[in-house]
Amino acid sequence: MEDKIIQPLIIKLSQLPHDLAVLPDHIITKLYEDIELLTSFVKSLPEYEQFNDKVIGKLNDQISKLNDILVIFEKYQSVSKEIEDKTNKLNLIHREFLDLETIQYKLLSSNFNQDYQKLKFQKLINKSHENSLKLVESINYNEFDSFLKSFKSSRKVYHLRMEKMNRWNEERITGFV
Amino acid sequence: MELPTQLINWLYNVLQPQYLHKQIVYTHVLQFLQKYFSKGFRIRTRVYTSGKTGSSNLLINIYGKLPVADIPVEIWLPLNYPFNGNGQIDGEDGIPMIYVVPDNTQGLFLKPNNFVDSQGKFYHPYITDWHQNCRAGDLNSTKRFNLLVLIDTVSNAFQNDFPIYKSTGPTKPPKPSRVLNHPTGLSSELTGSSVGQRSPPASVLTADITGSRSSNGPPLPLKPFQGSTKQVTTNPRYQSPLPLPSIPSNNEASGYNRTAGPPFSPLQSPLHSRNSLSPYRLSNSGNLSQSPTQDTSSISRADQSPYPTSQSPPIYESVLPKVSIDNLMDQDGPQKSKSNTVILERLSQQINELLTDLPENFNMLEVVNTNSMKVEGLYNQLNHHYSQAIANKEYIDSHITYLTDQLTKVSELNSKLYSLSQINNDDENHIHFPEGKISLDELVIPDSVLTNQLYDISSEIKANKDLIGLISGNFSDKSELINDERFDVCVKAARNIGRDMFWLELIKNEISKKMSISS
Repeated sequence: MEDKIIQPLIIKLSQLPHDLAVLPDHIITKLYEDIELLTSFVKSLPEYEQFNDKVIGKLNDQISKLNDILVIFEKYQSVSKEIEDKTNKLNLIHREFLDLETIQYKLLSSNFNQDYQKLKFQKLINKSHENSLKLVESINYNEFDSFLKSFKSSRKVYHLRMEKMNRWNEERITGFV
Repeated sequence: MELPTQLINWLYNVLQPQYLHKQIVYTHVLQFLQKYFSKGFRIRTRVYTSGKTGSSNLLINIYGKLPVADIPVEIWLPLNYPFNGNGQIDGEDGIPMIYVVPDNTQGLFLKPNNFVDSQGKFYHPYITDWHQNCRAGDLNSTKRFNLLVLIDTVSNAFQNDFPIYKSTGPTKPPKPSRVLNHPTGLSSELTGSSVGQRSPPASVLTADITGSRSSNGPPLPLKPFQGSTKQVTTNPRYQSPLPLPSIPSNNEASGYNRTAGPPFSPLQSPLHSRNSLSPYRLSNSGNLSQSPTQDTSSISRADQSPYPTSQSPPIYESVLPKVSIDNLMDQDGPQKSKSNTVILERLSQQINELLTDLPENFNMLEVVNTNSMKVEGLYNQLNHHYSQAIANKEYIDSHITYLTDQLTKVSELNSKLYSLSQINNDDENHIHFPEGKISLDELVIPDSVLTNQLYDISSEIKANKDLIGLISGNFSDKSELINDERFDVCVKAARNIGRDMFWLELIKNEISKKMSISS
């Protein structure tokens, strides 16, 4: 507390110069009756000078602190600018993320969309049917039995795929593998 | 007198929160304590309950014994001290309140008189003057109305009219001052018939003198002195003591006393002269020229046993010689030193008043202290905010690093998906994933073995039907396979197909039954 607050100056009797005691009374009386003389006397006292030094020291401390505050302001502004830049960068990242997110949705849709998969599966069924027809067109009567087996096998694949497609369209399946 | 620094700091802190005129209270109290601290006066805070409003406040209370007669007093400083008027708080004026507070346990009791009421509160024209003329804004009034003048006024008032009495009995009430109010009563005391009775000091001293003389003291003084003593006691307007016939320098000493010390009041002179006239003084000191210069301490010492009891004469006898011895010791040197000390004290007081008026000592100092605390607070606050800003920056940095990393991963995944998209378009039989691929036939699978078997049998049945249709010309738009050349082969194949279908249908029905579905 004492370091932070300077107490008002009080000149105690014991602090007065001892030489005063040898002065005649009327001189001392004259000293305290003449306000200018008394003021000069007080200002020449070492206690007053010490008090002044203490106040000046305190004011210097204040100036030093104020300079420190100015430095903090400058540093704070710099940090504030950096934070602002970083906030802008965060906004950019967010925007870029939204773009990537959109692209990713599109890519996922094109790769793994159910309708797309059904369409692809349907193409596969059609291909099976075409295979059957091709077998018939390229029939070799010399190997009639093997033809019949191949045709039957091809039709079985076709019907199996058709059956799966039908179930898929009926939504009677639980999902992908 | 050098005051303890802790006391000064304590006073400064006590004044800050409540007192309106802190600067003036601070100055007055310090000036007072510089003079009276060494004489036993102390300062404290106590709760004072107003007699007017009943409200209580924590006030500064200065207490101690008056040097003149060891009278214990307490001085209360109101919150708006010293000004009366607009700054009134809780119905109390800013005038200090003085109370006489005798210690009853030591047999001292209050004796109301012209200056003290039954509660011990002190009244005086000076107080009235203070009440009427000490106004805020009139700075000169604080030089007229302050604690130093006040305590001098109290001391002078009590020199004339003692406000306490001493009782040897436990509960005896004080007897009225018969001497001052009833001069005829005094004459009976003076004759020595009332030894042991209590009465005010002024009269008691005289009675004691005569009483002790009649019992075991030195020879009685001459009759004219006795007559003059009566005259002094009964006539308060008596201005100076009668000169001793053998001491021509007495008047000079009186004159010196009047110039050096404070002016004597009418009753002080008789007391003074009474001491001078004492035969003890004549016999023991042998130097009566010193007796009129008796200072306040010697008066108080004489008044320490002013109450006539059965034991009082011996006490009085022991006091007077001490006074004489002191006077013998106090020659010119100490007197001059004392005068010098008074002037130096006055100088110190003037210096402190000047310091109080100096703006750099009080008002500006307060600004400096306040600004210093503000600057310190602002610095700490800004430093804290700056530290927080640095922490926030680092926090945002870590977020940016993390999010950038995640963004890179999303970009990589998108690249993979893009390449997969090309592959999936090209491959009709499979679906490709980042981790691998899967056949389209495996994309939809039955949820149980029986169902799978059912699908398989159904497909085989339909395939057989397609085969029969092809043989018989009912498949798509194809022509029939059966003809004369392949009739046997076709019939045989159809027969086998029919047989297979029989079994297949049979199995299918069994499975359907097991799965509880209609075929």
